[in-house]
Amino acid sequence: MAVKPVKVSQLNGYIKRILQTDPILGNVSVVGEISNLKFHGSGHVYFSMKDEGSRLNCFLPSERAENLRYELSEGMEITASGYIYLYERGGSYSLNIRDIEVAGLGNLSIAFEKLKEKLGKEGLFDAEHKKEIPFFPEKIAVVTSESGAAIRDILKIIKNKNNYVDILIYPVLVQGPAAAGEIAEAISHINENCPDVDTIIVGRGGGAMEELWAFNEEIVARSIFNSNIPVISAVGHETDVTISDFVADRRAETPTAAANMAVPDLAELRAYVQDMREKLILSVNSCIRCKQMQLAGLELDLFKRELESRITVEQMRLAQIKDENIRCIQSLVEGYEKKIRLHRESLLSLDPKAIMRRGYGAVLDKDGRLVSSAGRLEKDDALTVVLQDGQADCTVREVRRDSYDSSEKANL
Amino acid sequence: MIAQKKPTFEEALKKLEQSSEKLKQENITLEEALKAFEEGIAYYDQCSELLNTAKQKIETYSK
Repeated sequence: MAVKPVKVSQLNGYIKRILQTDPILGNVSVVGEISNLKFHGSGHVYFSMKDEGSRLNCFLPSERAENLRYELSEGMEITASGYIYLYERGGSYSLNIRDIEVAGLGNLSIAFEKLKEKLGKEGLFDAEHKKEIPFFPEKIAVVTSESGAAIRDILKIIKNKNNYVDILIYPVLVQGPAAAGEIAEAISHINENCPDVDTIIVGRGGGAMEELWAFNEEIVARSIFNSNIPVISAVGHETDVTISDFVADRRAETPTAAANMAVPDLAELRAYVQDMREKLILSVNSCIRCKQMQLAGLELDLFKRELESRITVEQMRLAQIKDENIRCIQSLVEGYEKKIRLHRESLLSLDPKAIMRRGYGAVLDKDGRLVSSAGRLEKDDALTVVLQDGQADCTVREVRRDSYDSSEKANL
Repeated sequence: MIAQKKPTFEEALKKLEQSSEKLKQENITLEEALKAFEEGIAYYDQCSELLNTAKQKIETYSK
């Protein structure tokens, strides 16, 4: 007869204990294809891994998902490592993932395109974020492996064309899981602690896509983007294109190309500056010569004659002006004299004293007004007669009137 | 007197080019020409001084 029945939770509890104490299931690594991938708002990622015959539920906690080295996507084949975990309530088990590895060109390029699309949408590749690479840097930093071919090439190129710029070599791992972290850390460290660095070259020599993968990881892309110092990305050979190339301020096909791009050739500059100096000397001399010629053109005696004739012309003009002035003043004076004489004569003619000197007198009525017509006089009127040397009061004894025409009458 | 900031190489080069342009103008007066020439030569000296100081230092950052 069957063993005594147990409750569901007891059974699940027992299975859980077995699964979670098994050493193999505590740290297992499994290969499979991703399907029904779901990114949860909390940052947790749920998907299942399948092969042609079977399926396994997977759970990738958010803190692991954050520093995952690959963008996950549907249909990608991955190798996930972690431990088996029984979810008692649901009665199902799942793989709780610690890390994921992606291998094979196909899968890597899926991850590459996924990240490229994601960062592209965020605008990390936009042109307006690209900074100018300084033309004449004082100091450049090179973030690459200390022992690789890249640093050797870069140093060789720079040294033989420019003995002025300082170089800071910042050694980092350039492949393997820890590489991306070191590269990102190097770039932000230089930004924070080396303000005298004008340009950063980050890169490495050639290699397979797996070996270059660090330069396709998100944290490297973000640290390049956030760098205030212009970054030249130089990864692998001409054909290798990485996410760093898209986000950097300039892409160099190879480390050698990066070195050439980053520093100017001093010999060329010396020649250019020298040539500038010659040009200066030539043009100042030609300018002086042309001024001298201008001066020579001015024959002095001709110049003197010209001046003298100018002077005589000016003198004549002045004399003319002076004469004119005198004439004009004289005519004014004459005009005034005439005017004055006229006034004088009219005054004299109107002077009553002159008439009196000839024996005539002025007859005034009692109000002191001149009497000019006998017609206004009556008998016994009181009058005053004014002579040249005195006056006399008189009264009218008799009025004798002459005959006269009517117009005189109107003037009374 | 505040230390006059040493002009960068690019600034000195640009000024040198400007002086040479100025000198090429037809109607430049003698005084302007001489002044532009003097300035040009001064900038030339700064440039060539920079270009000839082999001060290169190569250092490796150690964590």
